[in-house]
Amino acid sequence: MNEHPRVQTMRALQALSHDLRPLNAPRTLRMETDAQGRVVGVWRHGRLTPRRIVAVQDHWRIDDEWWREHAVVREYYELLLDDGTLLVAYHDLVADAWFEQRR
Amino acid sequence: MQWPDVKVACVWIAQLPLRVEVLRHPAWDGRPLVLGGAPGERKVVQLCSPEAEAAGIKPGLPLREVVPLCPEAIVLQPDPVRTATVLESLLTALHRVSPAVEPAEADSGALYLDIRGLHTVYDTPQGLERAIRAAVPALLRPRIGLAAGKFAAHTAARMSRPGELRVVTAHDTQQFLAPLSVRLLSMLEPDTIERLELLGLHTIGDLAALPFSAVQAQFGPPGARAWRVAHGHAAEPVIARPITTAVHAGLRFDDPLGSVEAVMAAIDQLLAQTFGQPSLQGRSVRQVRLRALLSDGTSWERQYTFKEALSTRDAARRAVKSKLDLPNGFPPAPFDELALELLGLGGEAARQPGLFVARARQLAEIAEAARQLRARYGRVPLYHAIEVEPWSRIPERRWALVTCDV
Repeated sequence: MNEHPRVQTMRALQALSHDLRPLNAPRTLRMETDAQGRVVGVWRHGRLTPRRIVAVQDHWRIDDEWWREHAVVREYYELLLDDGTLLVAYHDLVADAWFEQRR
Repeated sequence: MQWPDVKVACVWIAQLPLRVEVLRHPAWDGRPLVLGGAPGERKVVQLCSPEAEAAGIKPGLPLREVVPLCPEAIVLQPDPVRTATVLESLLTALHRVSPAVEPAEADSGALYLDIRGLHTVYDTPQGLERAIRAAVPALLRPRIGLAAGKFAAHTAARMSRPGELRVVTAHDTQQFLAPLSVRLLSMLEPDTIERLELLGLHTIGDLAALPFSAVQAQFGPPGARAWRVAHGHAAEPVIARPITTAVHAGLRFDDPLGSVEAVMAAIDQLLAQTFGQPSLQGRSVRQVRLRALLSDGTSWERQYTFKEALSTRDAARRAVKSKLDLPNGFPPAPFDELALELLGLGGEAARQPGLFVARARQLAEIAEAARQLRARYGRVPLYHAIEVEPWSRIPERRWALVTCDV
């Protein structure tokens, strides 16, 4: 699967040299959808099982760097999972990929 | 029988380190035992049992001459940890007889009990003797003396035979001590005893016959003390060992631990056990004692006092490791058993580090850590966070980690 340049950039950022490391770099996230295509669960990196989304606590959007070649368009969600975890995830609308990231 | 006028009981165990070994190996009772030097010490006899003495062995004899003189002799290494453990258990057991028990200096094998008032518990001195003998294992061959003071009680115990109770009342003390050698006066230095003998004063009675002022003028406070003792004036009370609260834990290993890392892992586990105990909640620790039985049959003991009271397991671990890392900080043989005891418990103290001094020290510690990491990994995996675009709406643009250049 060809990755969008934004995703590639994120990966490149994570694999930066030892001299400079971004803090709070996004981590890829797999979303579980139901038959209607609605997001119902998340499968976080390194976890054995997916978690169900219980509630959406907050929602905001970032539109930035639209003047550059790769604009940043993200829909952020603060999700309450069924194990009580509060997770901030965003949907990269340009790359159509999901990431988790702290606020 | 009425209670005699006595205040102190002395339990004396002759050749305590050897009797402790007999307690461990009862079959050795009655066999010639020889205590040699510890590793690194002179290879001479330090102590020998009467059976070994009968074969011509005596303290100071080179160990290589022991076997030719007595082929069946059992040569042992000093085991101060086991001796201290046995002494500790004796103290605990004797506390059931009298609330005030004083251990004499290490290896003397003497324990003093304050027996004032015990006539209300025991009808006769023999009843008290039975209680003491019930508390002390018979294999240690305890000798018991009752007297008005510690010196007389100790002397009575030394002069009694195993299984016999020697009672010296206050009235009889001076008469009892008079014919004995001045060499028994342990409060006097050897050169003072030599001077006494040069002056023709060979017995305690000879010293007692002199005027107090003359003895004090010649021999100072120790002389005055000896004179009072010679007259049966027993002013020295039994000083009960203070009851200290300690937290301890121990581990026994199927495979002896030889590496520093393995021992530190064991110490870590013991610290986790001890610091997890409820009695240490909200308290600090001033000292740690490590006791180990080594695979070569010897024992090892260290007690470390921290520079400041510590209240966390990590801080205690760092302090212990720094001590073990010192030259000779580690024992010469692998560990079979390890026990850790935290002592000097106190209230948790707040720390007030200096504003600038602490910062400079912190930087020096980080620089040292960086040097060690570079030596180990070839690079420095230490970073510090810097602001890049703190105003950015994109979270990963705000901060970054850069290699720590120290």
